[in-house]
Amino acid sequence: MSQGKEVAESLLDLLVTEAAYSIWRKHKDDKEAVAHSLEKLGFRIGVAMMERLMKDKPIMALQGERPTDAIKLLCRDFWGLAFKKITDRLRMNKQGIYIVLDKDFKWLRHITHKVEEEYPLGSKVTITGEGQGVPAGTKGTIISYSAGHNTVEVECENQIVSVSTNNIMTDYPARINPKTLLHIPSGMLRGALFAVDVPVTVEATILNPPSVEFTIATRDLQPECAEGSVRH
Amino acid sequence: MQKARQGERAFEKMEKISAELFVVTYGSLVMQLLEDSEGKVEEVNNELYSIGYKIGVRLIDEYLAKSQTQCRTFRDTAEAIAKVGFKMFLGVTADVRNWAEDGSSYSLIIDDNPLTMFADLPDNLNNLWYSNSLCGVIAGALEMVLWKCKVQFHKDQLRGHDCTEIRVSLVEQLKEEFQQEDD
Repeated sequence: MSQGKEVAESLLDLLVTEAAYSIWRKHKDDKEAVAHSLEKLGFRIGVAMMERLMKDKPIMALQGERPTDAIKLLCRDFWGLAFKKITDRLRMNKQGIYIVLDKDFKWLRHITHKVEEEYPLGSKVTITGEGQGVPAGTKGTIISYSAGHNTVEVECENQIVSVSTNNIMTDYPARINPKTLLHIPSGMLRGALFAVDVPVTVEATILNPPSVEFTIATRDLQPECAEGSVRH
Repeated sequence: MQKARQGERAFEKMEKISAELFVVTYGSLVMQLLEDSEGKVEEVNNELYSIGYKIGVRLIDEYLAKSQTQCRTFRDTAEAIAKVGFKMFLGVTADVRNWAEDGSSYSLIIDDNPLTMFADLPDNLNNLWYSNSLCGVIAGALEMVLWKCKVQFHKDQLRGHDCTEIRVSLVEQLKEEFQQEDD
């Protein structure tokens, strides 16, 4: 049914961004709820996109016992549709987990990754997680930036601690954390593979923005010493 | 009509993607919002509007940069939205009809709403304005050029009506915040 109709790309980009913000604002205090909702949204999008893709290419019959074919389809055709390029590297580790690298991930291209812009001096923050030198939940103010990548100095009551930006939450965040945003494309990949009968879990890791690595684990990983079968 | 030609030219300048991609994303969003709101349809209508509004506020820059339309009156904006704005971003045009006598409101009639390409509205969702984000986009964009408007769906073919109609009503014309110069 594709009649070659087109819309502006900026419209899609804005839709996704604002959808993410809307969901994020709704569950602001509940990181898990945000992640779950965004991932689920991504999942739906991924399923729907893959179904459209498969409609146009009926010859692509995939066998369930070869998840590698599905992953390759993902890295080429699905990536082209969803992220306008192909992936830069695909490898599989010893546990049979696929690691997909996109060095220039579309969604991170427009997000600033400058610590100074995301976390301006004087921002009031809450420290999350343990092991930061202060109890979780301690509040403080950003007073400077450390030499380390994405590390800030936070002044809390009587002390100054060096904390990774992964472990702070700003009180009035204007910008969504890129890590949070990536729940959507992770969901998209999970949805896309689900649509071709390959159940997986997906995790995204930001390397050096805009470089992202997606770790895709298929559910039925074969045990290391499978009887007599050679895996390739 | 001159505006139609402007619309086409502006559309040519845009980076484009397949409409299907956009449409399935929008549809997924509607479904996710419905799930999150546990069936509170009015809440979803508002959320769709709100998301659209924020899109409109940001979209206007690209519109102004690429469209080269000059709108001096409220009347001008109607054709600009229908023939240029719609075309540039959605690839389709709308019709302007049913002007109020005092010129303060009009309808946008959309013959071929791309958003509803694959959508089907079940009976229990008959209060949903599926494409409500469109209203938000129009309202947000207009407010950035100082036309504060009420924009809402009047009819939707998805609901079984005979057409898809958005009503745009002028609330007030806003003033630029820093218009006065120091003496």
